[in-house]
Amino acid sequence: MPKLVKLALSNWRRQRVRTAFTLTALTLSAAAVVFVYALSIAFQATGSKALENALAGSDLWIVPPGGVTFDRADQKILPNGSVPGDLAERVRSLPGVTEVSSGRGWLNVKADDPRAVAEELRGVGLTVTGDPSRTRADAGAPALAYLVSRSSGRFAAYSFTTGFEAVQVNKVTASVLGVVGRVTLALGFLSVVASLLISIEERRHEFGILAAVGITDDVLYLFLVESAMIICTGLVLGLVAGAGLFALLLPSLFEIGTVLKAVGLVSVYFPIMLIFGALIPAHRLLQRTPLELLRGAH
Amino acid sequence: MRSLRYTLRTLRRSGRSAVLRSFSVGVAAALTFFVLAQTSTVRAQAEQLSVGGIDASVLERATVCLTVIAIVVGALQIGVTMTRVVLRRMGEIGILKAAGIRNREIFLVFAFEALIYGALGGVLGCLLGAVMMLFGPAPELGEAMRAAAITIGLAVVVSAAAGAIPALRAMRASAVEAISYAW
Repeated sequence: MPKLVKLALSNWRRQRVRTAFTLTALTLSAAAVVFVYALSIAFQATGSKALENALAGSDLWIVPPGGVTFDRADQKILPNGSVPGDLAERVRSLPGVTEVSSGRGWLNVKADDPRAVAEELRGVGLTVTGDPSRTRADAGAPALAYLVSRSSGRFAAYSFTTGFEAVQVNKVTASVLGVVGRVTLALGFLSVVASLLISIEERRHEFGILAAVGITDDVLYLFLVESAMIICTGLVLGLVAGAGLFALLLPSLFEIGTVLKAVGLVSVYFPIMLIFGALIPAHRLLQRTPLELLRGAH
Repeated sequence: MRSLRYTLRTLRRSGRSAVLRSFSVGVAAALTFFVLAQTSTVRAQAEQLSVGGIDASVLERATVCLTVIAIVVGALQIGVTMTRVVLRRMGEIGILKAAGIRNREIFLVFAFEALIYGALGGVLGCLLGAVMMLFGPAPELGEAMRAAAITIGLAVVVSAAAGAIPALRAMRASAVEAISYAW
């Protein structure tokens, strides 16, 4: 193994400029995408904290017909309008309802069987939904009720809070910032793959000689180790740089857990790059006969 | 400009690959153009995203910085391509050197090539960005022109800088080495 690493390093040195370019491109793009991911995770975290406070453990959440908005500056959820004054009494009188308390302009309802209560609320004329991306009640409905606990739903894979978080995260990833971050990663990926393809193509003759004396599998390993080292170094540098940038620009959002989550998300790209940039092209090249490889060069 | 004419001639030899080579810069330039021309959209989004006491202007600046990073990444791809182009034409460089062409001119041939890729990418990017903007609110013409100028300028400068390093390598090779170079 140390021999492979040594060989890989000597191959890096052969093309110093290209190695430096590839590393820089990968570092920059990984840093950009870590920054965006860390931001979206931080965004999600503040949103879910506020939602937790607003829900206060209730099963059904009755909000004004205009829905609620999340005020980022105060990190609080604010109602758009108010629920009708007599609604609390009417809900309390419904069978199965154990507790109704009013929050900031909304009602928190606890129930034994939330689904049954939801049906009854629908009967009263409320719009009932379990989908947090729904922000308005139907026209004419006195209020919008969110079905928060769906424990009885067999196929409900995502809870209301997870859905709410997803809506929040989506706001970052769908913004220009999120798009730019991901496109930058894609460009970095492209330049890494291009550089690896070039270095394979360049060494065609070399591979031909090695294949002629019967060394084929080792060539694959050599190339894999070399590419893995480039990609790994670039990604690690980028992850550190991105985390540093985030800490520098948005110190109040910086939490080690947030950044680690983002780093985890970005690391997923490592094997993909390796497979497309190194494994597939090198393997394809080695499928040829040594004669073809030697002749094909130049 | 003898070197520029030479560059254009070599580009004509491989016209299609020139567009491919400026693709990365083009994509990055499209984003940059969009962000610079649609300042109102970016500002509105930054305000929406500013969490708990974070200044929206920080996010706005971060967006612009990220697009510049994207252009740099695209230009680095051009740099990577240029290292290959230089190696491929090593024999040609050797012949030029043996014929007495000055080092400066050889440097310029390759620097121009990278610069042209950058300019092509910038222009393509602006066109792409303009298409992207058809779906949103139209920006002011003056602002769009300014954004286009900045984008193309940035793409050209960064790509030329990335191409200059392989071009230096081409310039420094000795004539004999270059002619006998084979890969």
